[in-house]
Amino acid sequence: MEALNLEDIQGFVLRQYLFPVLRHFLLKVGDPAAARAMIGRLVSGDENDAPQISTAEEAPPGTTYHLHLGITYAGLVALQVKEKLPNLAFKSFAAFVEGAAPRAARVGDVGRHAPENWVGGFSTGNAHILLTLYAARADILDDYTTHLTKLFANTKAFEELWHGDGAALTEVVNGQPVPVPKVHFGYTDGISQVSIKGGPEPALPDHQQPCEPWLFVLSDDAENYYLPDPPELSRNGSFGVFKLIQQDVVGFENFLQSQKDKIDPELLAAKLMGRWRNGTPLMLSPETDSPRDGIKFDQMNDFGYVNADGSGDPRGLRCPIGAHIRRVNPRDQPVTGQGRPGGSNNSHRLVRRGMPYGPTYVPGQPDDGIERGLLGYFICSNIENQYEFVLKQWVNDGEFVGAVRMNPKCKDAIIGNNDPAESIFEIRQQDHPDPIKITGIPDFLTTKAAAYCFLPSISALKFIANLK
Amino acid sequence: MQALSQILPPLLPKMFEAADAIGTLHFARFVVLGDTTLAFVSEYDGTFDDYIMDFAKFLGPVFDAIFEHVNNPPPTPVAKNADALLEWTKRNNLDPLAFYSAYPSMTVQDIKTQAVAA
Repeated sequence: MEALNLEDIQGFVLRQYLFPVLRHFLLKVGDPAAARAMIGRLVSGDENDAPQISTAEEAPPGTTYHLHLGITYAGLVALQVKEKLPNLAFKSFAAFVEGAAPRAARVGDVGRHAPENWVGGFSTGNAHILLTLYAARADILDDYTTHLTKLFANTKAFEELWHGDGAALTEVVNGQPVPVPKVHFGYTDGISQVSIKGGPEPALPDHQQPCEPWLFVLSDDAENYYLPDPPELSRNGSFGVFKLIQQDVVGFENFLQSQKDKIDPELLAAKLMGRWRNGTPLMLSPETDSPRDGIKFDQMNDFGYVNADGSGDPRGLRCPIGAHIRRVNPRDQPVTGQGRPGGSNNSHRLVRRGMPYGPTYVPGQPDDGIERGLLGYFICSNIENQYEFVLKQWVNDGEFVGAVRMNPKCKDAIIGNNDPAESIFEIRQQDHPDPIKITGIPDFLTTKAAAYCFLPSISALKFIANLK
Repeated sequence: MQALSQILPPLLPKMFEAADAIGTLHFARFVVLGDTTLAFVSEYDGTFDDYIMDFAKFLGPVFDAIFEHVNNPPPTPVAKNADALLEWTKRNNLDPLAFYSAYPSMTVQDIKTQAVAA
């Protein structure tokens, strides 16, 4: 196996940035030759000329921003990459070629989530380039934005269709707001990250085998695909699914409270997620979010669900089988598409790079009408087998697991496309034969936009820039 | 066909393991239909398409061995040619005249649940 070529891979594929603000720009290609030349300037190495796209090498001290670039298939056409490379073929990557909008129904994005309701031109053929700018401070974000916007306007390379800002949520400490690793609905996020063999950032211990790098970075070594043609364009690239997701924070809190005759609202919040809102996993602490002996941060992800001998929590008494984190990463739980008890990995994992948008919401406060949500980016090597598979088979289905028969109508209560008329979430109890049945769960999310992007390597961006 | 009937049996344990891993396959068998025809008959849940990458990954080596003895096989290794396998399978698939199931709403996972509970 070849070592990961960190200087060629876009940084955010393999690294999780701690910067508190970011801005995504959706761009339409203006003059194709100017656009290719501009892409070249973003990887020229000349900081004075233009902001530079970050590689996965360790950032030098004092780094204040990171820039990343994704291209949709429509973008490759608009950049004339397809025209100039007659052998261009994403043969085993039909989802990328087709794009997010035509495939929205597969992942449950119908009705109010459907592409005709998406913002910013994401559902049009003009969604070409998604540029992502992380910064250490808001004023730095604005400075680089001004620089990029000027470059794009002066050269007629790109036309901005939309931009969206994300920012870490905050908690007030000593009168000052400080960033916290939380997402709306109040849960601590980012605890569970994929561990990649040879990757620069080892994840927390998690009872799982590290993933093969080709599951996230396109490689000649891959077990289940050939590099798209030409390899100069595809090698060391990745695919990223961008998703703008509105979250109904008031609706979520109200729903938790509405069930308080059946179950304590905080326990319900934990059962729906699989973790207490402070991140403590139910598998390690089913009764309280503050176990007496404490759980060290590096143990917060160190658990499985079902051991090789079938022991553990096969029936979901601690952590419900249908809890969000048990669906999207079943770990050693046998489910369709993944192994047997104690089996520790699968080919359906995703690297998550998300950032909240909208101000921190304090439960109990009245509805201020401000929109809140998540700017999600889900990175993989195969959109069908990773992103779409997880949403279709494990999030929006109730029949993927064998140890306990879930209600066939049971979907992920946090992110599933639930219909309150038929949704159900069952919480099994140690000391009682009947599960607590939570019904009437609404869909707390609204998909506002999505894009299937290719995240080319640095050398591939130069290759595009040099196409004559 | 004689070659196939010799290579198949040793591959079967690996195939059963793979089927367990995929978790949507109820039954599967190879049936010799003549000197030059082998039938693969299986019953599975849901659509084949969504699990094609898992089928190709887990069953790849078994099908690679079989396809060495097949005319006009799909490209191998099938693990790296999952979409070609899907296309070939659809092209060579024979629809039954009729199909009966005693439990049309039960999945493999449901039945395993009942088996555990019993």
